[in-house]
Amino acid sequence: MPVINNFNLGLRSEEILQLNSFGTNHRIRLRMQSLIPEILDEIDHLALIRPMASYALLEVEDIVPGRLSLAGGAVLNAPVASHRLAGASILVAGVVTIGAAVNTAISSSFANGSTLKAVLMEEIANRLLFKASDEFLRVIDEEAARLNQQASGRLAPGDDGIDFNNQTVVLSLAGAEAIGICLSATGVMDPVHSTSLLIGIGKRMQRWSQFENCQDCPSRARCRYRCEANSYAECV
Amino acid sequence: MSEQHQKLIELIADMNEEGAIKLANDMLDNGYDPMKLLEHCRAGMDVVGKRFESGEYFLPELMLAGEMLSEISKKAKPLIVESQSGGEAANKGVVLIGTVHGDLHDIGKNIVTFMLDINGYKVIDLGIDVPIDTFIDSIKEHQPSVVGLSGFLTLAFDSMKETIDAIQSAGLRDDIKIMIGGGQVDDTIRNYTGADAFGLNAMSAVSLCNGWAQATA
Repeated sequence: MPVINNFNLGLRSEEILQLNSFGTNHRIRLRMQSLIPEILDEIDHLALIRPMASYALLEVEDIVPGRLSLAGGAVLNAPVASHRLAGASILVAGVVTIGAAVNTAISSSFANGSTLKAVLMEEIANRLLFKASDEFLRVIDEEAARLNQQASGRLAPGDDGIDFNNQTVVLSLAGAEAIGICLSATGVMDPVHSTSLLIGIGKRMQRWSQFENCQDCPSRARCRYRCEANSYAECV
Repeated sequence: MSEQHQKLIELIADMNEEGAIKLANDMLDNGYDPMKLLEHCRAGMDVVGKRFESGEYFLPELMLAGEMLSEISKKAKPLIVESQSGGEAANKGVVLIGTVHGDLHDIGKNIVTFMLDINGYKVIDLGIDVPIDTFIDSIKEHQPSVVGLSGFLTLAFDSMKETIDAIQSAGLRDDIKIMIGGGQVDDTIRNYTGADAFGLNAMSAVSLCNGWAQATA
């Protein structure tokens, strides 16, 4: 299964400072303006972000309402996926991570009382994971173009209409173990800064934005990462 | 209320870290009662909490205010122990907290732990992916008044329910309040798990614990 480990994820302080989840208080913004570059330097210096992705292109055998069957016998019971990926000849099962080191650093910051730094580092880590997901979609666009086809938008277990129980199957198909991702008993990915993706490839695939995914999400009302734009990275 | 300690409350509430720490240090150096000083700091923290709940402040402000309080406490607490009035810094009770088994998310739990700590609770943090037996053993050992269960994903709700059922079976449920938080908890989930309350953010957790502490005082 293909593995990607050459992500180029740039992040500027301004992108973090623009987040809706941060307010406009002058003093806290001054503090963040000095702290964020320090955190970005630390992340860079200590190589705390180690982005990797693994994926598989899987032949679609059949799509009927509520179920998506793959060559080889794997089945996803997912009404929304079967609807939105209708027409796909290939299903991409993918998984993206930025590694475990950053979460260790965040926990350490909490433990030594640097809580503002910990919260900011968490935001930075999430933004970098979202950027890695966007990069992954671009790689899949290239795969689709090579086949003279199109890639759909992305879905994931846990999205509305895609039962979270599909996570085990998706990670197995994507070869998550090859890049060090495992699942806890309740389906939590370890490292926690990881995400799975399902993308259809076909002649006429729908392309939807992350904004549309967020519109359908039952968590929308209280999600701090709710997207108002076309990509995760633009979602500020 | 003296002008000086009103000023301290305002400096904390307005995120003036340098000013707040300097004024607190000056007050302590001039013999101000360290216990009272920490009470003023908590009053400043209350203002920050209210601004957070009203949407004026966000998580960074909560964290920075907490860091100010921690920094001031480092100087004040040893003075409290040494002082003639004696006694330990105010302790509102023991809270046992952990992320339930099967779940590895700790950012929310860490934020709640920090906020409870700076608001005067002794917090025992059991970490992440905490087995049910660890909760039971720790309740027996530390006898908390409140247990906080954290879990991010929907599947963690079953772990919360299992943990609460086990606490009940062990005969420990009647003496403690249990709050849950993280991800998509709501009153339906609270009812499903058997918890007493749920919180949507760190300040909710503090408010719940304060309410329970006042009810039993």
